[in-house]
Amino acid sequence: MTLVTAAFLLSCVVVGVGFTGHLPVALRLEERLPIGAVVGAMAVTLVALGTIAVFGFSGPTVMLAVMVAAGLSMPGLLRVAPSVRAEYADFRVRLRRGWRDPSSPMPLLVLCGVTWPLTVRILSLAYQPSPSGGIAAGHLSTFGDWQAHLAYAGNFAYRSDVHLGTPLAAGEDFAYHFGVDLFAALTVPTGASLHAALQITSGYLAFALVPVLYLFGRRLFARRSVAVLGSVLFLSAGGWGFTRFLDDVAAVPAGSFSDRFRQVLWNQPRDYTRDFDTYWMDNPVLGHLYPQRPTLVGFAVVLFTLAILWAARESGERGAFLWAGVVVGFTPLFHTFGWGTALVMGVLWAVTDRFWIAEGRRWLWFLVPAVVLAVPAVAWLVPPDPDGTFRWAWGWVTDGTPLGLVGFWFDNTGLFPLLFAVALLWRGATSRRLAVALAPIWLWFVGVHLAVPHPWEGNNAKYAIFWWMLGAFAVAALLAAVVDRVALSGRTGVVALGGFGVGLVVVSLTAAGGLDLFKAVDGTLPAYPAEVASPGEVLVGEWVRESTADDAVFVTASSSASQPVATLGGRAVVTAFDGWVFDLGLDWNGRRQASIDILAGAPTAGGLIERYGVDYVVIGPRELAAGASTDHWDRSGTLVYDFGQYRIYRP
Amino acid sequence: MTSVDTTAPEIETTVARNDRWLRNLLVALVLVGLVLRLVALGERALHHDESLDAWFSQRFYEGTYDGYDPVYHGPLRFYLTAGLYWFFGLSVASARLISVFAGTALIALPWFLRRQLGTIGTAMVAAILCFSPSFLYFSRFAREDALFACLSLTFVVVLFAHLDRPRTSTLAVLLLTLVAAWAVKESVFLLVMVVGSYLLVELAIELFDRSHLRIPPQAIVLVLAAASILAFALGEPIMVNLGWWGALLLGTVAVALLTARRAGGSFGATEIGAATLAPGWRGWVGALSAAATVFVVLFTVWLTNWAGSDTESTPHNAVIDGLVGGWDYWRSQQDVNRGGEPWFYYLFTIPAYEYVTVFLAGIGVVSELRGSTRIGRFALWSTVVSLGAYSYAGERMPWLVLHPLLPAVLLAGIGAQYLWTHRKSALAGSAAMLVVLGAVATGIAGFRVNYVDGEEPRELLSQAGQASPELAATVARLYRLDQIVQSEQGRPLKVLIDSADSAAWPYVFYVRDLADVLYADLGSATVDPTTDVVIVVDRNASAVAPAVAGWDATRQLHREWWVPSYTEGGVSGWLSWLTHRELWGDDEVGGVGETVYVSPDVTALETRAENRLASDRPSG
Repeated sequence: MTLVTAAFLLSCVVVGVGFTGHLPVALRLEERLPIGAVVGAMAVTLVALGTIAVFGFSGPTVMLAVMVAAGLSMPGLLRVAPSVRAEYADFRVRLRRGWRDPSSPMPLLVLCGVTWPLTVRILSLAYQPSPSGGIAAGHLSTFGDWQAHLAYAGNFAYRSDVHLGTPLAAGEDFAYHFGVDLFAALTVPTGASLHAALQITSGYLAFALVPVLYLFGRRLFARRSVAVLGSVLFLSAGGWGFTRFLDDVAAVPAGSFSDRFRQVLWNQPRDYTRDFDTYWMDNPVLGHLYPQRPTLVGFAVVLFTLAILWAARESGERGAFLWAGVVVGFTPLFHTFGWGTALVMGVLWAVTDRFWIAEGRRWLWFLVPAVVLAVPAVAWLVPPDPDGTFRWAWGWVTDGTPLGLVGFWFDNTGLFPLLFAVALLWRGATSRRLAVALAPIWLWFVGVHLAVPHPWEGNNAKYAIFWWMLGAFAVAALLAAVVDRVALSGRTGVVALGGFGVGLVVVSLTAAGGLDLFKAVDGTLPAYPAEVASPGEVLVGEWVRESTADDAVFVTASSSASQPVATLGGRAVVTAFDGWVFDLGLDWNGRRQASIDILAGAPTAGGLIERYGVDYVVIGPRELAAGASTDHWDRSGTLVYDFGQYRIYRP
Repeated sequence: MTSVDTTAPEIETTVARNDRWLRNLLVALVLVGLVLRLVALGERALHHDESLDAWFSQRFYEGTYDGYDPVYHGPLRFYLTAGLYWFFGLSVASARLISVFAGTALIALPWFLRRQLGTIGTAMVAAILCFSPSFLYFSRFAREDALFACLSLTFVVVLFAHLDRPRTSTLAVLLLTLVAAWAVKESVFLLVMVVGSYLLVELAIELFDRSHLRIPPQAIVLVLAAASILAFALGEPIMVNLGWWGALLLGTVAVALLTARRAGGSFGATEIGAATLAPGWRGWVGALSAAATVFVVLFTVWLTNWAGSDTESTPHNAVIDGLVGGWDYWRSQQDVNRGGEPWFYYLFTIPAYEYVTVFLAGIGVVSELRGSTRIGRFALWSTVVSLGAYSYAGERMPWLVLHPLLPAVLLAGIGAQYLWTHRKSALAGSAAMLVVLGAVATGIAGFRVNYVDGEEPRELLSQAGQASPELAATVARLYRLDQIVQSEQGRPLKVLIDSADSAAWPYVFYVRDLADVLYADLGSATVDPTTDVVIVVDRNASAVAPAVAGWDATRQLHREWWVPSYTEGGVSGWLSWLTHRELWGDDEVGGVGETVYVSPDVTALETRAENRLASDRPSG
C-alpha cells in the first residue's frame, strides 16, 4: 500500500467523522471512528460516481471526489471537532481506569488486537505469485467471488467513463450492488494494483466492522462481555462440522491422539462449515465477509443503524432518526440485503412503537429517507426478470420435515437456534424490550424456509446470516447471564460445572468456524493457493486494457472463473463465468451457447456478433476446449493478438 | 514551610504542562518519523547485506533456517522479519519493516529520559532521531542496526530507571534487553564495554567523592580517558589492550573503594552499589533465570535446534555457540579490516551528514565541563568510548555510524538544553541561528540520501555493496521474461547467475519466485546451452564469451562504491562534495560490473511479446 492510498483512506475516515457531526447521539471515540470510516467510504464513493460521470475516471477525479466529499462533511466536521477532542480525552481517561472498569475500552482493544492482525494475514494471502509466473488465489473466496469483484472494480478502474453495464454480460445493466468495488477502484489511481485494491479496501472495512460489532453489543446489551463474546460467536461461528474434524483425526492410522490432532490441524483435508450438501451457512468471515465484499458495508450499516435507532428511541431525537434514515437510504448501492434488513427492522420497530400515534411519528424521519433515497438504486438493481427467479419453496434445502429442518440447523449452527430462542424468552438474559426488538430478526430465519428469491438457492444464506449476526449477541447475553448466576451461587462445584458447561457450549458454537479460520490464517488449505490467472492470461489482460477501446466487447469461454478479459482487462464479455451470470438472474445459458457458437464459427455467429456487439474473439485453451475454431477465425477474422496459447481476432 | 506549600503545586503544574507539550511533540515526531520511513520504502535497490538478512528471514519463515551463525549475526531479527513476512508477504519493503518500526520506536524513547535531559533536550534528541540522515537511512535499511540502536537506547533508559529506583522488574527488563540485543548483533559486547566502563567510572567518582581525596568528576573522566587512549595505543593485540584497559578501570575503582572505606564509605552506600544490591539474591536469580531462558529460546530457534548451525564459526551446540560464537568470530575479524576504511572513518562520516548533532554535541561537552550531570557524564563517556571502540575495531562501515552517533545525540540534547537555559546570553542567539542553518542543511542532505540518491555511491551512507538501480530493473525484466517464456513455451525461464565477486547477492532474494535459477562461479563453470539468461560479472566475461556469442547483451553495474581518500580532499574537496557530491583528485567510483545475456530465442520472444502490445485502440 502506498502512502497516497493510506492518505486516501484516512481522508475517507475524516469525511465520515464529519458526517457523524450531524448525528445527535453521544458517541465515544471508539464508536465515532468506525462509523465514520464506513460512512466516509460510502460518501466518497457516491460523490466519485458523480465526478467520474462528469470528468471521467482518473487520479484528479478521485481527488476531486475526496475534496467535494470533504467539503460536504466540513460543517459537520467543524461541529464535531470539539467533541472529538473531548472524546479523545475521555478515551484516555477510560483507558487508564483498568480493564475491570465498565467504561474501559480494553476489551475492544483486545478484540481488535486479535482480529485485525488475523485480517491482515488472511488478506495478505489473497493473491500470490503462482509457480508458473501467473497469479494464484489463496482462498476459495478469491478464486471465486473476488474474480467477479475484480471485473466490477476493473470496469471502473480501467475505463475512462462511468459504465453502468455489467462487464459479465455485455449489454445488461449493472444490476449488482457495486459500491464497494467502485470504492476499491478509487484506490487504483493512488498507486494500488487492482488486486491490491480489493485487499486494501476489504481490510479497511473489516477493520471498521470489528468495533461496529462491539458497539452494537455494548449499546443494546449494555455489557462489554456480551459485546466481545457476541462478536467472537459471530465471527467464528460454525455448526456441528467440527465432528468431521474429529472423524478425520480418528482416521489417521498411527500416533497418539495429540499427534494425530496436530497432524490434522495443520493439514486439514476439508472445510468444516461448507460443503453445499450438509453445510450451507458457511463461517460468516469466510463465506460472507471475505468473498462477498458488499457485506463489509452492509453488516456494519445494519449494526450501527440499529444501535443508533435504539438510542434514538430513548432520546426521541428526530435528527438521529433522520441521520440513520439517510445512511440506510444510500446503502442499496453498497449492499441491498443490508439496506433491506435495516429498513425492515426499522419498520418493525416503528410498528412496535406505534408510529401512527403522535409520539411514534418520529419514525417517519427514518423511514421516509430510507425508502425515498433508496428508490432509484433499488429500481436500478432489480434483476431484469425477478418473477423468473423468485419461487416459493418450503424448507429451503432441507426435505421440509420438522426433523429435517432441525437436523439442518443443528448441522449448520449447532445449538445456536435453541440458545437464541431461550435468550429471547428468558428475562434473565434479555429484557422484554430488547427481546421484542430482536425477535423480528426471526422473520429472516422463517423467510428462508418459505421462498428462494434468487436463482441459486444457496443465496438464501445471505438473508439467514443477519439472523445469525444479531442472534450471536443474544446468545452471548444468555451465556453471560448463566455465568453470572453460576458465579453468584458461590459453590465451587456449581461454578466449575457451570463454567465448564458454558465453555463447552462456546466451543461447540465456534469450533467448526475456528478450524476453517485456522486454515485461512495458516494458509494451509486443501486446494489453495490455486492458479487463477496463467502467465498467458496475465499478458492477455494487459493487452486488453492497454490496447482496446473502453467499450470493446469480447467473446470468451464461460467455463471458468479465470477470466482474463473481464477480471484483468476491465472489458465486457458476452458472458463471463456461467455461475456468475446465472446468479445475476440473466440468460446465462443463451449467452453461453451464443459464445460457443461465435467461437466455433457456427452459421449463426454473424448474427450473434451483431446482436451482442462483439469486437474481439479470444481463443485460448479454454475456448478450444469449448469447441472454438482457429481455422474459422483465421479465415474470417483479423488476427490482432497472437502470443503463447492465446489468439485474439477482430470479427 | 509556607513557601514550599505554595510553590510545589506551581512546579508540578509547570512540569505537567511541559510534559504535555513534550508528549504531543513526541507523538507528532513519531508519526512524522513513521511516514518518513515508509515513503517509497521498497524502491531503493537491495544492498548486499540487506538481501542476506531478507533471505535468512525467508528461510526462517519457510522453516529451513539452520540457526545462529555470527557471520550473519543474531537470529532475533530474522524471527521478527519472518513475522512481518507472515503478515505482509515477502517483499523488499516488508524486509525493511523491522528497521522502520525500530527506528520509529527510537524516536519515542527519549521521553523516558526527560527528567535527566530536560524538556528541550528531550525534544531535540527525539527530533534528531527522527530527521537525522543516518538514522533515517538505516531505519529504511534491512540490516539490524536500527533495531540494535533501539535496543541500546532501551537498555540505557531502563538502566537509568533502575539506578533511580532499583527493582527486580527493572533488573529483569535490563537483562532481557541485553539478551535481545545479544540475539541481534555482536555489537552487544561493545555496548556492555561502553556502559560497563561508564558504571565503573561512575562508581569511582562516587567513591572518591566519599573519600578524603575529593577528586572532581571531570578530572577522573579525563584521566581515565587519557589512560584508555594510552592503553590502546600500545599496539598490542586487541585482547591485551582490552585487558590493560579493564585492569586500569578496575584498579581505579579499587583505589577509590579503599580510600572511601577509610572515610567510612562502602560499595553498598553508593548509588550504583545500592542499585546492584537492591533486588537481593532472589531478584538476581529470578532476573538471570528469565534472561537465560529467553537466551536459550532465541538461540535454539525456539527450542527446535539444540545442535546449532554447525558452521566453521559455530562448532559447538546452539547455546554455547550463542554464548561464545559471536565473541570468537568478532575477535577473529579484527585483523580483516573489512571495508578497508581508515581508523578516522567516523570522524569524517558523522560530520558529513550530522551537522546539528555535531554542533550541539560540542555544546553538550561545554555544558558537561561546566557542570557535570550523570546523564551528561554518561553521554560524554559513551560518545568518546564508542567512537574509540568502533574506530579501533577491525570493521568500519556506514551502518556502524549509528552506534557512536547514538550517545552523541544524547550529548546534543544536553547541548540544546544548555543553550535553552542560557538563552539570554550573548552567544545563544548565534548558536541558535547555526542550529537552524544546520537543521536546514541536514534536512537537505537527509532528503538527498534517503529519497533521491539512495543508491548513489558518492553518498557515504550508501557504500559497500549497494546494488545499482539497473540491477533492480533487470530483476523486473527477468520476471517479465519468465512470464513470456511460461506463456509461450510452458516452461520456466532458465537463469544462470555468476556467484563470483559475491554477485549472486542480492539476486538470491530478488528472484525467489523464479523456478529455474542456478548460481555458479562462471570463471570455471560451463554454460548449459539450454540456459535462457546468463548474468556474468566482468572478470568472468571472457570465460563465458564463447557460450553467449550472438546473445543480446546488456552491460550494467552490479554494485558501486567510493572509498574516499579522506585526507586528500582538503577543505575545498570536501566543500565541493558537500554541495555537489563531487569527488576530488584521483578519487573515483569503483564497482563490480556485470553483463546480462539473453539468448536469441528468448530475445525474439521478448520482441514478439512487446510487439503484440501494439495498440488496437481506435485512433481519435
